Amino acid sequence: MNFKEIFSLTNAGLFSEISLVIFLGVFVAISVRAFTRSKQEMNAASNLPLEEGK
Amino acid sequence: MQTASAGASTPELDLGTRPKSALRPIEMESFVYDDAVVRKFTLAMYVWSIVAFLVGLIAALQLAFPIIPGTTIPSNFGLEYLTFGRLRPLHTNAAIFAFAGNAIFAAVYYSTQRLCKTRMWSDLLSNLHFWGWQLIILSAALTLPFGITQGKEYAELEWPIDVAIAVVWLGFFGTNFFMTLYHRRERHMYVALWFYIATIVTVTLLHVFNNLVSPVLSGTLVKSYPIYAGVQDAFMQWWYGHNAVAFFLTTPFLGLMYYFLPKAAERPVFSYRLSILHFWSLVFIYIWAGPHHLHYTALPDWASSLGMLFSIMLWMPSWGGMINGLLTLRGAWNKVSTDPVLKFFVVGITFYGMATFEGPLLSVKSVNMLSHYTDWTIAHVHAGALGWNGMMSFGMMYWLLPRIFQTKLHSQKLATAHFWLATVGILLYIVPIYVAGVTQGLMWRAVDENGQLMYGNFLETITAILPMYYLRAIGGTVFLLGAAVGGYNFYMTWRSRPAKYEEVVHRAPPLSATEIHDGPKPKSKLVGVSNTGKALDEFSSMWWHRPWERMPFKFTVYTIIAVAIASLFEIIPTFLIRSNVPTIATVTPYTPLELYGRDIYVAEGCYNCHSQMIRPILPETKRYGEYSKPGEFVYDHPFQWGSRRIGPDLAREGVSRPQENWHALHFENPDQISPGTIMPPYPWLLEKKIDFASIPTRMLALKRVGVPYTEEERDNAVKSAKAQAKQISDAIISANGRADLEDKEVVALIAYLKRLGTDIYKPLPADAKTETVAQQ
Repeated sequence: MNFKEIFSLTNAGLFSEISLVIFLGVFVAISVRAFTRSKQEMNAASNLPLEEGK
Repeated sequence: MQTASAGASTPELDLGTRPKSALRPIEMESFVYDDAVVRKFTLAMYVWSIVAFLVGLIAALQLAFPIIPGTTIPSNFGLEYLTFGRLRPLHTNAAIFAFAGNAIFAAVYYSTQRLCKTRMWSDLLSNLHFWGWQLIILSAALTLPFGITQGKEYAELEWPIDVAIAVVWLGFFGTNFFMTLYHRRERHMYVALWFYIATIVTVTLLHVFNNLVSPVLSGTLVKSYPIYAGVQDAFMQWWYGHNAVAFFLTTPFLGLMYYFLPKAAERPVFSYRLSILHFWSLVFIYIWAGPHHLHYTALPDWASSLGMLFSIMLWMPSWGGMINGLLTLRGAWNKVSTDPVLKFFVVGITFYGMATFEGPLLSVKSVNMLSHYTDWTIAHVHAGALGWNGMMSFGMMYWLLPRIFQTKLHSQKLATAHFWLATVGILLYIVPIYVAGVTQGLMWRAVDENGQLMYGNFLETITAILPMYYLRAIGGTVFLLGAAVGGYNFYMTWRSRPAKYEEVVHRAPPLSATEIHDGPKPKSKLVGVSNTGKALDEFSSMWWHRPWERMPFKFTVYTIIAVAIASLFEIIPTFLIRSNVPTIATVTPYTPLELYGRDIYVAEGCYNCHSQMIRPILPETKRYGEYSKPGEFVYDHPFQWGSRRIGPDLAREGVSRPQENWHALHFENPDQISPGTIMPPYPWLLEKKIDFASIPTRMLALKRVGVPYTEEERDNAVKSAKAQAKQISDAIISANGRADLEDKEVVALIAYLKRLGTDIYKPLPADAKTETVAQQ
C-alpha cells in the first residue's frame, strides 16, 4: 500500500482540525512578535513613507 | 523633493543598526527615481478604466434592454462578438487585470522606489513589463469577443496569453521588484512592501496551477482543456477565483493604502503593530476561503465548511486593516473636507470594511443558500471593485498627478465632483442590485402551502427585477461620467507639465554602510531553572528572528509557506480522498458531436448566465429536477457550474427539455418561444458550419488529461458526429423545423444540451459497480 492509497482512506475532518491549530499557532506567534517590539522601533518603521519630501 | 543628507536618509530603527565605523565617513550614493514608468502605468490605468466601465455599462444595458427600445434590433446589434456571454468576460478582465492591474503597478513602481531608496533595478524590465502587460490586455480584447476562452471565470484567457502573463508577471515584474528589494538602501522593509511580495508570489501560484491545460494542437484553433475535471476543476477555479480577489484586488491595494494614505494624510499609519497582524492573518487565512463559492454544490461538504469557517475568521484581520486605515486620519479629519484625495481614500476604505463584512456573511451557508446565483453577489462584487479598488485607484491618481507631472492638479473642484459622481454612481448601482438579488432569491425559493413553487416560470423572476436593471444602468452611467470628469482633469494637468521633467537626485548610503550588528546571543538571566529552561528563555527573546525579517527572500519564503499550507491541508485532500468523488458507472465521455457542442457552449460564454448545478434544496429539485452528483462531472473539462443564474439552471436540460426543434427555434430567437426573455438571439449558430475535421484533435487533447477516448473512437469521430447530427436534424425536420441544419453549429449544441443530466438515468452496464474508485 503506497502513500497515495493510505492518504485516500483518511478522514478529511482531521485536516480541518490540524489547519485550525496551525493557524492559531501562527496567529499567537505573530501577535507576540508584534506586541513585544519597542515603540521606538514601530514608530521609526511607520514613518518610512513620510521620509521622502522632508 | 530633497537631496537627502546622511542623517535624514538613515533612520535609526533600533534594529541593532550601527554604522560600520563611527569614525569612517559614510559613503553616499546618488540615484534618481524612474517616474516615467509610473506616468505610463497611471495613464494606462485611466484609459483601461474607461474601457472597463464602458463595456460594463453596455453589458448592463443589454440585460435591461435586450431589444433596443423603439426598434426590433437586438442590443448586441445582431453581432455575435457583442453578445453578453462574450462581453461579460471582457468587462471583468478589463476591470480586474487592465484597470486594477495598471493601478497596482503604478502604486508599486512609485512607492517601492521610495521605500527602498533606489531606482527600479532595471529600466528595461520596467518597460518590458509595461508594454508586455498592455499587449496582454490587447490580446484579451481581441480574443474574448471571438469566443476564444477557457470558460473559467476570471481565467478565461487562452493558454498562449496565459504563458505571456506568467512571463510578464514573474519574469519581468517579479524579477525587477525582487532585485530592487535586494539592492535597496533602506534596511527595514515597510509593510506596503510585504503586501506587494505576497501579491507577486501568490498570484504566480494561483495563475500557474489554475491554468494547467492540455492544448488542442491545431494550426487553426486556439483551444485547450484544463487538466482538472468537474469537482476538482471547480475547486481549483474557486481557489483561484477567490484568491484573485484576495491577492490581486486586496493585498496590493492594502499596500497602496499603507503607503499613499499616510502620504496624503501627512501622518504615519495608526498602528504599525496592527499592520503586522493584518498582513500575516490575511495572508494565512485568505487562501483557505475559496470553497465558500461552492456551498451546496457537488463539492464535498467538509471542504466548503472549512472555507466558510476561514471566511468568518477573515472578518477580524480585514476590519483590523480598515480600522487601521481610518484611524490613520486621527487628527486630520478636517483635511478630508477639503482634500479630494482623502475623500476618495476614506470612502474606499469604508467600502473595504463593508465588502469584507459582507463577504464572510455571504459565506455562511444559510445566507449563501439565498444569495448564491443571484445579483446579491454582483452587488457585493461591485461594492468591492468600484468602492474599494475604484476609489483607492482614483484617490491615488489624484495624489500622483501633480507629483509625476511636476505641476499643480488642474482642478481640485473637478476632482471633488468626480468623487461625488463616483460615490453616488456606486450607490445607484449597488442598492437596486441588492434589492434585485434578494428579490430573485426569495422568488426562487417561494413555495405555497401545497409545496408547489409560487414562481414556477423562471422568466417571472427576471421580469420582476428588470426595473432594478434600469436603475443599475443609471448608476453605471453616473460612475462613468465621474471617470470622464477625471479624464479631463488628468488631461489638463498633463498639459501644464514642464517642457522637461526635473530629475531630482537623491542620496543615501548603501546598505553595506549600515551593516547590522544584532549583538551576541542573549544569555538567560533566569536562576534556578534547568539548561532547557534557559535555552527556551533565550529562544523566546526572538533574537534569531531579527535577521530574516530584513531579508526579502526569506520573508518571501515565509509568505509562500503561509499560503501553501492551505494547499497541503485543503487542496490535496480534495484530490486524494477516495470518498470525495464517487464515480457513477453510467457516466461516460461525451460523444464527438456533444463534445463539439460543449466547446460552443464554452465559447459563447453560456456559463455567464446559466448554471449547471442543482443544489440539494427542495425549491431547486422541484424547479430543475434531481440534484447534481459529484460523479456526473468527471469528464467536464472545464466544469461549467456557473455562478449566476440570469437564465435557468441547465444541469438536467437533457431530461426536462429533449425537444430538438424547441432549442433550434429558441436559439434563432428566444423571444418567439419565451416572450419577454432577456436572452439574446443566436442566429449565427444556425448559419455557421461545424468543423467536423477538428473533432479528433479535440478528443486527443482530452485524452491527454484522462478522458478515455480510444483510438478507434477518434478514428470514427467524424463519421459518428455526422451520424448524430443527421439524427438531430431529422428530428428538427419532423417537428416542422428548418431542413438545412444538419451541418450547422446549432445541431452540435443541441446534442450537448440533450445530453446534460441524462447519464444517471441510463441503465447500468452489466459489469458495473455502483461506486468505484474516484478518478485520479
